Amino acid sequence: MKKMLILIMAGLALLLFSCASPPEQPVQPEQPVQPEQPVDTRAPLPEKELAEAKSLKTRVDNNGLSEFALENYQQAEKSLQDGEAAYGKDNAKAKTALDAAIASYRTVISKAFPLKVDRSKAEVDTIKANAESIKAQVAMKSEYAAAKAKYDEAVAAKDAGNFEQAISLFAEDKTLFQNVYEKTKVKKEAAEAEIKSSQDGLKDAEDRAKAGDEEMQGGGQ
Amino acid sequence: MKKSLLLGIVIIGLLFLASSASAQSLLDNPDYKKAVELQRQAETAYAEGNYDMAREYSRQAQEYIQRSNVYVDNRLLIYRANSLLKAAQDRVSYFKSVGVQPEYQGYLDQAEKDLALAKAAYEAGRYQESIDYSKKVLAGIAVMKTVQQK
Repeated sequence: MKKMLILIMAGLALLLFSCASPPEQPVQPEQPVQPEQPVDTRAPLPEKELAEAKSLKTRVDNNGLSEFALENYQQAEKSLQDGEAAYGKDNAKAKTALDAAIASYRTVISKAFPLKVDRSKAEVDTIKANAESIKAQVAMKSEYAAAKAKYDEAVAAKDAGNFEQAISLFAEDKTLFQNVYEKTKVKKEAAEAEIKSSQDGLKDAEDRAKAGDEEMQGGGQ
Repeated sequence: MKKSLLLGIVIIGLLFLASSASAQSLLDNPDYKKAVELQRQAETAYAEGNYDMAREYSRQAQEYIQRSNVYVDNRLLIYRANSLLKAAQDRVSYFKSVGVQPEYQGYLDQAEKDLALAKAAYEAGRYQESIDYSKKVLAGIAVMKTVQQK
């Protein structure tokens, strides 16, 4: 009986213990949001890459090359922006983007320079042909010779692959030939006016003489 | 016979020369020819693109055109002065030969004086003045009547 009572007591105690509410948990401090990818602070700043990408961009922009390889140029611009955004924060990512920008700018340069030079040459060829069509080589001999020498120099630079020099020379030459053309045109028009004037004078002289001949052969007034 | 034949040939020759001289165009003058040559040079220079030379040749051509015009005007003036002087002379000679009514003698005398002035001006190369006097002679004579016209 005593044994039975102990068992009952022990069962009640167990029941009471199991029904009791658990103790309150302590409030945990909020953990900071972790970035998806960890920052690689160990990679060095890609200073050289940034400088090179910017230098190439300046070269492309100064020579007006973007329109000749627009897709590559836009890629290069995007990569440069990405590289600058990541620069100092995620240097490995920045380096990757800047390397891509450098490659794209180089593609722009290799594609666009020959096209740009061809266009520059074509522009000069047109104005040169216009000048020659009104015989600028005779009318403005020394000025034409100077423009032609510059043209030959530009063509030589183009053929040698010195595209920037060729573009610059063609630009200068375009101005020279334009000037030669304009001055020749003025001279040509002045000569035309003078010739017309003397033609009219001769016609008038002939009419007067003819009238005089008729008067003299007709027996006077 | 031989002499008169030779004389005839000379006369015909002179007449031929006179007629060919009068048939010569006023454009047959060195200034006009020079102007034509310069104009041709101007056009050649223009075609070659030598516009400065073209202008210069044309400018020179215009100078010679002016000279040619002066020559033509002068020849015409001489011709007119000569024609009018001849007409005036003929009219005065005619009235002198046939005689005028007394009331017109004064006109004839004046006409003779004007004719003398016309001749003098012509010989001095003042052709316009000669023309003016010759016209005055002809105008004065126009009113006269001969003795027979009475």
